[in-house]
Amino acid sequence: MTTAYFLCRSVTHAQKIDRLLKFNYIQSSIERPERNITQSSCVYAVAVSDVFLGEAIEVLKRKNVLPVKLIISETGKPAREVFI
Amino acid sequence: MIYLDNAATTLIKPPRVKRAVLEMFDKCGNSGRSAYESSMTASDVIYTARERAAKLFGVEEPEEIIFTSNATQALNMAIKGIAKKGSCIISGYEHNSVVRPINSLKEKGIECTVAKSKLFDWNDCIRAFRAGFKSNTEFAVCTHVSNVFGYILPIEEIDELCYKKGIPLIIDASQSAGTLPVDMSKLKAVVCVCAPGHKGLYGPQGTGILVCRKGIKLNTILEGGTGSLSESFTQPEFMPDRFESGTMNAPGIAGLAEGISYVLEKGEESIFVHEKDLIDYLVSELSKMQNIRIFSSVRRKKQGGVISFISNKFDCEKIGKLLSIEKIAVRSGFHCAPLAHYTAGTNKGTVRVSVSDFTTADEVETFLCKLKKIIE
Repeated sequence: MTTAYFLCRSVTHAQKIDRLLKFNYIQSSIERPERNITQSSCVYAVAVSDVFLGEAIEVLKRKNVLPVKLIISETGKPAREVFI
Repeated sequence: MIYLDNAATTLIKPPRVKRAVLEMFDKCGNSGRSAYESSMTASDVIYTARERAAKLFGVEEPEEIIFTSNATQALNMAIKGIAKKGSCIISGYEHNSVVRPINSLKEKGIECTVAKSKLFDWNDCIRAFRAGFKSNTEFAVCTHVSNVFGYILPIEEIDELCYKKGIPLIIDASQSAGTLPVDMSKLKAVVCVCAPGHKGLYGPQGTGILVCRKGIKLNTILEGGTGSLSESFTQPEFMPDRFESGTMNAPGIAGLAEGISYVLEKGEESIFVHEKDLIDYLVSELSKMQNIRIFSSVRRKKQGGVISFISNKFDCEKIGKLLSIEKIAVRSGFHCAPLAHYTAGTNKGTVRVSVSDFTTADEVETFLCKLKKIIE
């Protein structure tokens, strides 16, 4: 399974992204991922299935609401950063 | 009790406000600390409140809304956050929540010019501001509506003056939020708007809002845990976290969200018209009473839902006490605004009557009857 994580600077930032995606009918959820994904502590992220990733990036770019980082996590593989 | 002290706090709130607060008591954890259900419940209700407040105050981003414990805290954050050196200018009708923090800045060498002007005189107010600007004026503060007299100051014109001078303006919307539009998208010099949650926005006590325009860098007066950048020893630079340290008053903000919702649904204009009609009636009836001097504007558009009067029969404190015995709540004295009283010449204080959207004509009628018995 592949999940995309839009890493956020705060819970407010995460909520902004999450609501924007939901408003555009993109399924998303706010999480606190483990350190191997965030490389830091206490980080909020908005998780999106890779199926919707392209659309999600388009929505965020269009509204100029960008995450701090985009991390892709695939089962059995190390998490990797993708530059938007 | 007939409650006519809404300028202090609105006692009667929309039922949804209380429901929201009570619901949060059992459901909300600490916002921004985790992602489990109760923490996110708190975060969600706070974000909803931000969105509604952003809509009310005409800002694009919810992050431009900072929640405080009251307008006094918001004003302290704005004033002390913006002040660096030089001087500032304020109107002659400011509350102590503006005057006292500015006085405390005198130790840092920041001077203050008071643009004193006649009550209910917009031309004189604009003239005073224009005359009061100095070469080193760093910022301006102006109340939108006087908490003593209900005087609606010409903030649009003052905003224009400040904009031409390149002077940032802070607005104290304590008595206007919820009844008069304070639309930051239409105000050019305004960098901050400060408002209590518990007056015209019908939220609980312990809530307030600082609207801080995007891109404005304010110094902080309070630093601490924000739930963000937790590995850093320094305060975040981004909003709203920079100004929201410590545990937020989530139940209070939940109530405030519902209060703002009430105002947005009802419309500020509808609320203002209701209050204005009551004040107009008060003015006309008080004018007929002997031994009373009222402070009201001939031009009704210059006065909000607050009115002050004095009597030559009793001092204001005695009138307040006698009304209290009759189960009528008004406020007597200086209303934490000695500057406003000294500017208007009411050096012994006044009796202040202030209405809300929930005040009825019957209550005003009963107040007038009781007052007449006391005074005449």
